[in-house]
Amino acid sequence: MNMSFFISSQSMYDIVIIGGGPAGLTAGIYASSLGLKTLIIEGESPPRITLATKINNYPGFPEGISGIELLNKIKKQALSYGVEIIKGNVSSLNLIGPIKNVIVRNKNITCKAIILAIGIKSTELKIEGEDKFIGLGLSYCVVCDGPLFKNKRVLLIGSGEEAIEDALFLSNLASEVFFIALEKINEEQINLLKNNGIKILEGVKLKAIKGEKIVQKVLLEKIDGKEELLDIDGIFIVTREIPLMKILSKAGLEIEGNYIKVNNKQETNIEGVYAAGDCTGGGAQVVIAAGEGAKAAINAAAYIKKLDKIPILWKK
Amino acid sequence: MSIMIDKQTIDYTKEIFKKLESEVKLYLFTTKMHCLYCNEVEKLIDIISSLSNLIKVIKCECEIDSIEARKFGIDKHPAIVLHGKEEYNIRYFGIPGGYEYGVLIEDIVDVSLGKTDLSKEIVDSLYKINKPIHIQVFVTPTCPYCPIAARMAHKFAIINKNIKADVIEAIEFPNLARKYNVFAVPKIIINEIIEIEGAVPEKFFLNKILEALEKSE
Repeated sequence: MNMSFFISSQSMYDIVIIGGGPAGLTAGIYASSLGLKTLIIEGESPPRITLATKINNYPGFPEGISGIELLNKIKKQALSYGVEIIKGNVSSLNLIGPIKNVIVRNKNITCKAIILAIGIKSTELKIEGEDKFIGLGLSYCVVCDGPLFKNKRVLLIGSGEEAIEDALFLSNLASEVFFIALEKINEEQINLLKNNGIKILEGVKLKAIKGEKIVQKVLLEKIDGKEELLDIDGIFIVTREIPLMKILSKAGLEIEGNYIKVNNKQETNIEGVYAAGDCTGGGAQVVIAAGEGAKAAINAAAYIKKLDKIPILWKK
Repeated sequence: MSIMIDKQTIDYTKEIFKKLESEVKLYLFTTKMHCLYCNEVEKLIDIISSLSNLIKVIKCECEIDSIEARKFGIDKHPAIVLHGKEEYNIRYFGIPGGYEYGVLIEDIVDVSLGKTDLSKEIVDSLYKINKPIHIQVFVTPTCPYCPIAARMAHKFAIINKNIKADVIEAIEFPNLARKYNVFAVPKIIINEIIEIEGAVPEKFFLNKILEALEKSE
């Protein structure tokens, strides 16, 4: 056992900001300038602003500025205020209560307030049956739910180092582990997986997840177009583009349509959790994202100030 | 499996236990028959109880049809029942390891103080419940979400003794996990009719309890 099992004992940040786009970085500038210990977790994929070749309507740049250049300037400003920035995908969250947890690559980060500035993603896997089977054999958290599949047949579909690590974790539990790589994996990784008895399914595409009430099969499409059903008990999706909205919804956050529901203070339905930028449906404008980021940080700072007057473990 | 708690955790637990006020009784139910972690849970409880003079352990190596087990409604092993300032219906089935260790320690403090950090609004609503509610929270030791759901169920049981709150380590009880389709944790079952997946805000949890009461009528 170790200290990580006490939620209250971690090295704690005041604010953790998830997302390294204009909303997240601006929130970081404001939070740090208000004297708060601030961490920004940048996703593995670059924010959408980097796709903009020229932004002509951001105040202060009459000649226009490229998305990458503007982002770099905001990032430089955030770093100058002492914001810490790390890269990684969030695999799970605990949002409820005065101490919150963010899990990034099995690292448990604790904080008092969270600002979600996760943008909008357009590259979810969109597998038929994905929504239907969440919690019924489909999971995005291998460390949480993997132990429930002891001596069962599981499929892991994913990309990145994390998918490899998670497949190895499952190989110690499940009777059979199948692996579909969404990105090319190198020779060393292939050998590692194979040496641990993991069956790599090459040249196949996951088309659908099937079952009556729970996951029972997956439909795979081969390169030649032929389809094949594979019997499995569980499926884990571990991608660079983890569908954060689904994770957030599981963690109790209110989602409306494809966006996080916030009030005019950028507060979500969970105390101490704020959202800013494109993920709130703000119209995908950089200036709005930055403004919402600033507002979220100011309100989160006020929340923390109030919280700090109350002992954290046993708030009365 | 051996039980190891590092010095830092021991020291931190001792620090937390300084808050204890009333004596806490940990009723431990074990059996020699088909019990995966009975020995380990006993060792763990012995270590925990050695960290405060206010924690007493009452051990019962007995089958589920024994008088003692029936008195506490114990239908599986290992089981821990927590009594503190009052006799609560707070139970833990399986080993409180991993993230669940913190749940047990923080539960001990709450039962000793006889109060929780739930908001007044929630407490007032919980007081009004006058029919039996049985909450089962399925967890795994590696799940970082789970302590929130487990703690909340136990806090509810501290406020109102009509609420019986069981935290169940899903891997140790595969038949129960299968019965309730536990494929993701935490999973909460209320009165056998309401299912919740994930850690949810206290108001949402309370509303589901009220929904279960309505449906039970």
